Amino acid sequence: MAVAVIEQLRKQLREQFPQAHVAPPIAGEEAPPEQPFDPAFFPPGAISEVIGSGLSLLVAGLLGEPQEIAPLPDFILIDGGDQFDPASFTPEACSRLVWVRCGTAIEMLKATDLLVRDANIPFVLLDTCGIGRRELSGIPASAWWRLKLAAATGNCRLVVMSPVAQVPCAAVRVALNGRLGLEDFEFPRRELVSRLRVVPERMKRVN
Amino acid sequence: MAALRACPEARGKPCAVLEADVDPEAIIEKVKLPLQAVNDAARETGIGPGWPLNRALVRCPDLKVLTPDPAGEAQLLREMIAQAESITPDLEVACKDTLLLDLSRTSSRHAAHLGELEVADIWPLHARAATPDLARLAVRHEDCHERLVTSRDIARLPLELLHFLPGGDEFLPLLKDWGLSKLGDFMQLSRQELTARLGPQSGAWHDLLHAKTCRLLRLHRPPESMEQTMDFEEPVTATEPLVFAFKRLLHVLSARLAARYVAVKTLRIVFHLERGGVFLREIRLPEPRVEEGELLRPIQVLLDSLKTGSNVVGLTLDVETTLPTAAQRDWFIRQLPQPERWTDTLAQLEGLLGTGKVGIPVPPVSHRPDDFKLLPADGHTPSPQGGFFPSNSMPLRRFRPAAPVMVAADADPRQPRPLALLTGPCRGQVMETRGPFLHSGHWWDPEAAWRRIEWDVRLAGDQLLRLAFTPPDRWVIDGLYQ
Repeated sequence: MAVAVIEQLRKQLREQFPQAHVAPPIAGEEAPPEQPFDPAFFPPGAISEVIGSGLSLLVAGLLGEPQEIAPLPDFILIDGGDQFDPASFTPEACSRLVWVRCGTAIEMLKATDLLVRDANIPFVLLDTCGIGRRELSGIPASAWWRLKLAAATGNCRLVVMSPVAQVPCAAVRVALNGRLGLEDFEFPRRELVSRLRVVPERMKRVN
Repeated sequence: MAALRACPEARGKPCAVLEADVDPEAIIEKVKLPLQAVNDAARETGIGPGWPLNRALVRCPDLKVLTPDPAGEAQLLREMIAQAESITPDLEVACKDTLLLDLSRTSSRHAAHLGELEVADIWPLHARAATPDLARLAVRHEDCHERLVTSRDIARLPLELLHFLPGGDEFLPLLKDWGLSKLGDFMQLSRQELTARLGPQSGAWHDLLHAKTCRLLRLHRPPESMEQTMDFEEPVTATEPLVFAFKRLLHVLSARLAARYVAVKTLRIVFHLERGGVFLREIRLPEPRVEEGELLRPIQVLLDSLKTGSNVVGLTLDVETTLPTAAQRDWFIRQLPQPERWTDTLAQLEGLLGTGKVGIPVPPVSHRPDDFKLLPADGHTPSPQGGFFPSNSMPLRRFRPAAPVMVAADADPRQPRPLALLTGPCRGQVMETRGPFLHSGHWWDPEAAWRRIEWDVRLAGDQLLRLAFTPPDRWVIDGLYQ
């Protein structure tokens, strides 16, 4: 009975809003996806950690190559070392990003805490690569657990990009292997992103 | 009238104001602009509003063309409204020189004062009719001034008055071709036939002239100020007394807002400082708010990060109001789940990191290095579309500021090729290079001109980085490719 009612509702919605139920294009005519890296790879409500080389390409892959300016941003980049370069992206890609420029590890953690708890934009990229190794290792484990709880409360995806593993409570930890040379600069960015090899890391408690 | 007030020496001489706001000295010989208004002296020479300037100058060689004075016109309108409100508060500002007054609930004694109104030493023209639109049309013709006009009187007026109705210019030549000369000729035509030939607008004119439609006036209500000021007996240094003061101000404000069925769109706060001067802050709310607590929250966030540099001796709180939103959110437009919370978070981030640290990045339009803009992340400012493409496919991790290094380079002084990095965060032999890429800008300005040569290099340790050479001998690392 309930199934019949739901089917009837679906039919009515399809008739009322046909534009929202347009069939996807067939495989032969399919346009290349605008976003080569799938955000759904990272679990919601948890911390994911990405280490290794090619982290800039991860950001490029998430932002993709949209054709239109986004009305609202999709990602927040908390830039621990203030190293993000807008000139490396198109205005359309940049419009999907809120860039938070931090100078120290403390500022970075406080800003992350605020934005993860806010949860209006539930995908936060935390780039710790620009923070000095000594300052980074001084972050207590309790700070990461606190962020984990906040992410779980707001169902927020928090992706930590770091040179080495440092998050003890990461639900997913992967290593990127994107060894590139100068000759690769001639290839389109989409191809470079597709060449990124994602290797799952053995999960173990750090710190 | 406003132009004459601004130019008193032209009184008594034939004067006119053009419809376009242009320099009269520049256009007299060139353009056939129509006259917007003429004074009595000019009217006596036979010219009138709507005449092309060149024809008017032929008829009246002494005609003085005055520059329109928008500020003076606004002042005159305010004076006229103030005078009209002595007769009835129900009035509509039809255009910048015409008011529509509802006299239906005004006593005949008060209505008789209509002829005694005086604005800037003149008596405004008036006409009375059964409907607002009929009165607005009738006052344009001198035969109808200072009397009650009926549809029968309107029928005797010239057809050119249709020019003052919306869309009238379009059909006026056609109606003249039909041989119509009076409004009465138009009124005698069949409404149905008119609508069939000229569209529904002509039917609306037909009803208007026959006084069959009587619309409601769009009543003029002066904007009401919600400004409140509080002076402290002692200069305030801490946040808590300020919060307490704001609570009191917001309590009154919230009650006023609720009584008027309006909500706050923007809060304007002025801190009066002990050393003199003021400190102004404006808080734009993501959604209209009325509740005291909801208004206090963004103010508290502001106070947490406030650095005035002096004690506060007084506060002024003013608001911009709007209608409260009663609409449901749109299904098919993406919106932030909690925009008010997002605004709070942005304000807290600004307090934590400082201004200019959070936003939506916009790539540079020039090739000057690290020349980007940050747009506010509240979603109100649209990003500029397209026009910029990155120089290569690898994103750069930029050093801010760029790291100066000593480089061993070959002997070419114009385009030195790097051979090894001797100092700085990344040292080593350069194994491979890509470039040179020459960039320059503002060559027309000797002080702002810049020029640099960039190289993408791979060091012995497989590090990829961007080197930049600025003549005569400065090398920097712009950033790393990771």
